[in-house]
Amino acid sequence: MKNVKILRNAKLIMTHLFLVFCCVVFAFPFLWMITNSLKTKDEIWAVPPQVLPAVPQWMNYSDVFKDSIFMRYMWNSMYTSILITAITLVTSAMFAYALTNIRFKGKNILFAVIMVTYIVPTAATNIPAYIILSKVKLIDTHFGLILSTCSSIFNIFYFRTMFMQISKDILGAARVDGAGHGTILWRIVAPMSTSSFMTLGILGFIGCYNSYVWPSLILRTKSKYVISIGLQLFFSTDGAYGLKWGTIMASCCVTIFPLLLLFFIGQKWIMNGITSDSGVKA
Amino acid sequence: MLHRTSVKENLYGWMFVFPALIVLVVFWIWPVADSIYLSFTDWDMIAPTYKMVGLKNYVSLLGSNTFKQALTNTFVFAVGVTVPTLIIGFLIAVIMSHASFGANFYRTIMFAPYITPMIAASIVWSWIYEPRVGILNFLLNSIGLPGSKWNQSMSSAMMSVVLVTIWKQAGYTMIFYLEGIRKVPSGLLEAAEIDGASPLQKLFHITIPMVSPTTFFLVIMSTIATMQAYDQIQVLTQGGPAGATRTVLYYYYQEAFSKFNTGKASAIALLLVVITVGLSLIETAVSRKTVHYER
Repeated sequence: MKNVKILRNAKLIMTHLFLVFCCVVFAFPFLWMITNSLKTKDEIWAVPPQVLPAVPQWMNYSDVFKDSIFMRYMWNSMYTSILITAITLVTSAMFAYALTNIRFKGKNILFAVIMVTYIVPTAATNIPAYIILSKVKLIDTHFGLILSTCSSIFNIFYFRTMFMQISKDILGAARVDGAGHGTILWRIVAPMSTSSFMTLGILGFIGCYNSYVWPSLILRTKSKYVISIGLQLFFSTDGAYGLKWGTIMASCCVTIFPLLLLFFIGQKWIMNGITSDSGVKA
Repeated sequence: MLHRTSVKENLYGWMFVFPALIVLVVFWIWPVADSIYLSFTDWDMIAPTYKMVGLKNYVSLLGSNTFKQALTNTFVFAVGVTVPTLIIGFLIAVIMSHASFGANFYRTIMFAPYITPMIAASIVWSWIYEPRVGILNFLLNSIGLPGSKWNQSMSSAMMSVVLVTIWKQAGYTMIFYLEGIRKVPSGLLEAAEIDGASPLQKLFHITIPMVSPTTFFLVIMSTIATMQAYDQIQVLTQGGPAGATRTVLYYYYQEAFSKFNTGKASAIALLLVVITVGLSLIETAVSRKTVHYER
C-alpha cells in the first residue's frame, strides 16, 4: 500500500517537473527579451552570455518612450486596431443576425459564397485590393487600412452559431410586440451574447495589432506606420549591426506587453473562442 | 399583407448584410476574380497597357526552378511545422491532463507565444540564434553539441524558421488537445484499466483514436496557417540565403510588390489557392479512413 503511494507521488512529481520544464522552454524567449532589454551593449555582446545585467539599464526603456516616432507607431496601431475591431463586430453581428433571423431572398446563395471565400488565402486578394485602394486615393491612409479590413468571415460564422442558439420564442414575442429588427438585435440578442462579443473583440484586436503584411504594403509614409512595421524597420536598420540591441529588446517588450496584459485579463474569453470551433461548423 | 411584410423582410435582410458584404465584395470577392484575370496578362502594375498572354505565366512558373524550389520549401515548412507541433501539443496535453493542480498556470504560459506578435517574437529569436554570441549556440556547446549558423546559413535557415513557428503554434494545438482529451469518456478508460490495459495501451487504443477529429481539424488548420506564413521569414531570412526559405507565399510577395510582375504574381497566388484547397481535400480524403467520429 505504501509503495503505491510512493509511486503515485513520484508520478505526480515527474508530471510537474515535465510541465515546469516545458513552461521554461516556452517562456524562455520572453525572459531572454526582458533581461537583454536591461543590459548594456557590452553585456549583450559578452561571451559567454551573461544571464542578468550587473546594473539594470532602465535607460533603454526611457529611450523607447522618449522616441516620439515609436510612440506614434504604438498609437497608430492602438487606434486603428480598436476601430477595425469595433466596426467588424457591428457589421458581423448584423450580417449574422440577418442570416439567422430574417427571411430574405438569396440568403442561401449568399451564405455559400461567403463560405467559399473563407478558404481563399489573403494573398490572392492583395494585388487587386491594392489597386482599388490606390484608385480611390486611399493608399497610404489609415482610413484605407480600416476600410479594407473591417469585415470578418470568421466573426460572421461565430456570431451565426451563437445567435442560432438563442430561443426563437423570445424573438418572436418581441416581433409581435412591434419591435423592429434593429431593436431586437441591439436590445435583446446582443445583450444575451456579451461573451461572444468579448471573445471576438479580444481575438480581433490581437489579430489587428499583430498584423504586418497588408499594412506594410499600403502604408508608405513613416509617420503612418503601425507598430509591427516600425519594429521591423527599427530592427533591420539598427539591429543588423548590433548597435542598439538593448533598445530593440526594450521596444519588443513595450510592443508585447499590452497584448500579454490583455491576454491575462481576457484569457477566459480567448480560450472559449478558440476551442468553440464554431468557425468551422457550417 | 403577407406580401408586404416579405418585401420589407427582404429589404431588411439585405440592409443588415450590406455593410459587411460591401467590404467583402470590394476587398475579397472581386479581387479574387480580378486576380484570375490578371494572371493571364503581362501587366507590371505601372504601364497603362498590357497584353493577354494566355497560360504563359503558369507554364513558365511550373517550368521554373525558382518556383519548384519555393514549392519544395513550402512543403518542407508545412510538414516540418505541422508534425512536431501536433506531437508536442498532444504530449503536453496528455501529461497536463494528469496534473491535479496548476494546469491553468501551465496552460497560460505555454499559450502566450500564440498571441505574441510574430514580428517581435522573430526579432527576439534572431538574437537567440545569433551564431557568435547567441544563447542557443552557447547552450548547445555547453552540453557538447556543435553550434550552427542558424538563420544565416543555407542549410539551417529553414530549420530556424520552422523552430520559431513551432514555438508559436504548439500552445494552440495543446489547447485543442486538452479539450479533446477532456471529452474522452472516463468510463472507457476505466473499463480498459480493469481489463488490465497498460497506460501506453490506453493511449494508443483509446485516447489517440478518440481525439482523431481534433487531430484532423488541427492538420487542416496548420496546413492553411503554414501556407500563409510570412512575418517570421521576413524578419529572419527574407527568403534567403539563396532562396532556402522562400516559400510560395514569400515568392508571391517578392514578385508582386518588389518586382511588380503583377501577372506572374497573380498566377503564383492562384497556384497557392489551388495548393491550399488541394491539400485540404487530400487530408479530408485521408481522414475518411482514419478519423473516428462519435456516433
